[in-house]
Amino acid sequence: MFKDVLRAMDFTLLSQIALVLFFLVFVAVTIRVCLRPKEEIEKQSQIPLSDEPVEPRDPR
Amino acid sequence: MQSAVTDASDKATPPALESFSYDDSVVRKFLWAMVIWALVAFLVGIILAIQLPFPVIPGTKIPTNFGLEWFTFGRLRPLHTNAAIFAFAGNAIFAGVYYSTQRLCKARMWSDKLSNLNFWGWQLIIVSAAITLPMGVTQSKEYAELEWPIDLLIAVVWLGFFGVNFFMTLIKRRERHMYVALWFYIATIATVTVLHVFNNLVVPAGFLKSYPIYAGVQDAFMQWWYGHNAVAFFLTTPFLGLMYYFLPKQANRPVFSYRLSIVHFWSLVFIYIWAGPHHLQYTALPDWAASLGMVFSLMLWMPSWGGMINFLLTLRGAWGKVASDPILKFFVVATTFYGMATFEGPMLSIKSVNALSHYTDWTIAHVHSGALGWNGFLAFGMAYFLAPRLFQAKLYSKKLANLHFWLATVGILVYIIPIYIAGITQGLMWRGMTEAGQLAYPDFVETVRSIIPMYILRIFGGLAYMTGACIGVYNLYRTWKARPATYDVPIHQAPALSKTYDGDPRRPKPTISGVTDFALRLNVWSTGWWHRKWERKPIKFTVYVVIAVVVASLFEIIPTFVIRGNVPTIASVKPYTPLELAGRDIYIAEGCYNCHSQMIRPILAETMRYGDYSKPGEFVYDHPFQWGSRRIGPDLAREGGARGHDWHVIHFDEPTTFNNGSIMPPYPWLLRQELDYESIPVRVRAIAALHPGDPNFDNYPFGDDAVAHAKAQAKQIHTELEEQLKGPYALTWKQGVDENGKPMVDDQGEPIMVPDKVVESDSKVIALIAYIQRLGTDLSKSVEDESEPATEPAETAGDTSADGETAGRHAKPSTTLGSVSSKGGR
Repeated sequence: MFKDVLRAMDFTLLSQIALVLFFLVFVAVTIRVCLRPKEEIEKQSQIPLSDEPVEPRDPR
Repeated sequence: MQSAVTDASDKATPPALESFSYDDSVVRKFLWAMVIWALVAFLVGIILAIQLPFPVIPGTKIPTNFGLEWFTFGRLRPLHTNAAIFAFAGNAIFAGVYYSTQRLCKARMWSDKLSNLNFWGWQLIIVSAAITLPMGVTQSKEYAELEWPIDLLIAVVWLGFFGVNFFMTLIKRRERHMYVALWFYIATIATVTVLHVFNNLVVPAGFLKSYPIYAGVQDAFMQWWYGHNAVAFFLTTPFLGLMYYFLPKQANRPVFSYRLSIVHFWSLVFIYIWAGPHHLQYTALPDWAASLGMVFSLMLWMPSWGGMINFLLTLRGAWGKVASDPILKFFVVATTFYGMATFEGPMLSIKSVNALSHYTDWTIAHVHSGALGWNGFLAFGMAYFLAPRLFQAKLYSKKLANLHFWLATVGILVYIIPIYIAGITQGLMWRGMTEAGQLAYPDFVETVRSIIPMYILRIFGGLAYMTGACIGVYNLYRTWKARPATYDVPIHQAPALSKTYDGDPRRPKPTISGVTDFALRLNVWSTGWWHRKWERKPIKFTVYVVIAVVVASLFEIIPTFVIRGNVPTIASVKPYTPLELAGRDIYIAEGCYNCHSQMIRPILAETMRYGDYSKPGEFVYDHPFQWGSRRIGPDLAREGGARGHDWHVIHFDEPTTFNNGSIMPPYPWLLRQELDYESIPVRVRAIAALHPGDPNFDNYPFGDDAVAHAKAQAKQIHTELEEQLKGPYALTWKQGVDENGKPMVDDQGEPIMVPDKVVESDSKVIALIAYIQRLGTDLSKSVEDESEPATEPAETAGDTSADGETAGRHAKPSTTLGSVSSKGGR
């Protein structure tokens, strides 16, 4: 029964859904990254240059 | 350091400072391993490059494998690829990851013991590969050739030693934010584990032999899901991580756009995993999967070029430095080749381009621009960066580093340009048609001869690249010689990360009102406050990466496997007989798939050259699939019945006998060595275990019957062979010798002549011929004609009349031990 259902399915639709889904993720990531504050981004990009912690533990 | 402490102490209770040092000794070890294995990989590459245009040493009859079975192209090529990928690039990854992770996390590696186990375990794997691959121990899946005991070792070393050590270091880190390079390392470790495990699911048939649980189409799909992502997650993501660390470090400026690097990361993680099926365009793989692979490959253009531009723009305003700094020069060329290779890859995945490029040297040129240009230059640039820091001495010679750079750059170009030309030339010749609609170059060997000059040029390219590498190793050696008596180990101090972190953004209030709840939630979600939290959490982060990769994989894998029931099954396709299976294993061990494909694409030029195109249902008993990826020799999918046994025996002994210009090495040992009949029962049992409930195995011979069946079939083929060798192909005759070693004479005292090429019925070549004569023949068999694989082989042996009506090229049902008499030509 389960097999029959699977066999009857049209997998091209599945691949199209997947494509759209992943494309949306891509768009979401891009938008999100662009929304991030500039100072934060700049601070993080300094990490490899500095041998000291750039963003160490914060006081409690 | 000081500032961080003061900052913290200004506010509340000062966090306790922790002292730590970085473990550079393991980085030094990996660096040496990287350069030594690099030389090995290049040397084997050059040997292979010589073997193709010169199967024999010019002017002599000595083969360039020196007549030794361990050094044929088919066995050495996997050694070359494995050495380049896992030994050279692998050790480069470890060296770079161990160096940068500690510094990005402001923490020593979690366990020195695991670091060392990682190092020695990995070298053990490489040495095992270097021993087993020339011995012909192989799973025949490209870049996954190593047999199951070594695969288990890889899993332990990769995840158990490297993975655990890396993730524990992340957890114990003292830097709050995980820099993007670490993301790339996380993706590498997680994804390679998934790929390695699922592509290597096998049923062992002995200590160094196994059969994959997948067959045919599914096996091909899994292999290229793995194969492409070995490129993506072993040769790309870790190296991107290294580039995001070492390039800003050497240029002494942050990466051009950190935002872009994040987009680069997520795009690759989400898109790369889909691209595998583009290696199987126009094959028997379902079209939707291949198309999907193509579309996602094209999408990769964007993030890859985004990354490349990001690297290049990082150097904006520092180009003056590039001219004088060999390390930056290496990085710039690496970036350029990254851009070229990631432009070319998607282009090659386009179906119409792939129709031309597939099976040709074009692919070889493509991978070498990636491996030598991207991985090689990044690895060597990194080595020059690391050497003075690790050996605590000035780099011995900047001049030599520059010389290395130029030799290697020229070397790559002299390698890839001729090989591009060779690939396109051969592709065009294969499809060339005359006005009358016939193949313009019907003789395959013509297409080989035309590219020999290009093969010769490539040798010089490889030599130049390797000479550069030797100079590089010498430079590193001299730098190491100047090291101090004891290495200085600086002590760093930083507070541990607190368990709770107040810096996280809180769930913000919606900025809009008067809308539905869903819109409010969407508004909050879109601020991305939650992502900021993830980035500090290595375990959760890893889980999300794995989900992205696994979901994408399942989207492709599930349909491909469900279609198992959907693959148009072909009633006449039966399991291989025990002897054919043993012969197939010889085909695999000799690495025949490295030069011969078994996949005829539905393209006119191919069906005219090789016969009917390959159907998915033909491969259901192929564990592993043998479709191949390169046609250095012709396709063999319909080789069965095309020629007599005699042709094959003589051809294996000396391929140029029939094909002037053939570059196949001779395989005389196949005629001499005895087939290992004793291993047959375990082989057939393993295959049958993979097909539970298959009625074709109901009357299949197992155990001693399998051996008896194999021997009977071998005897049958041998008898036919003796008969055929009296025909036109028996080029030389000699007087026979009886059991006592006396020359044989007939009643009249005349010498009894026997063919010069004599093989015993238990020789390996007989089993291999049994397999080759079976190839592609099942399709044209009529089902009624089909008896089960003979349970009483003696009865059917020699009975050829039954299949007489299926005359033509593919007229031989081997399962019934029929004979082959038709000698087709191409």
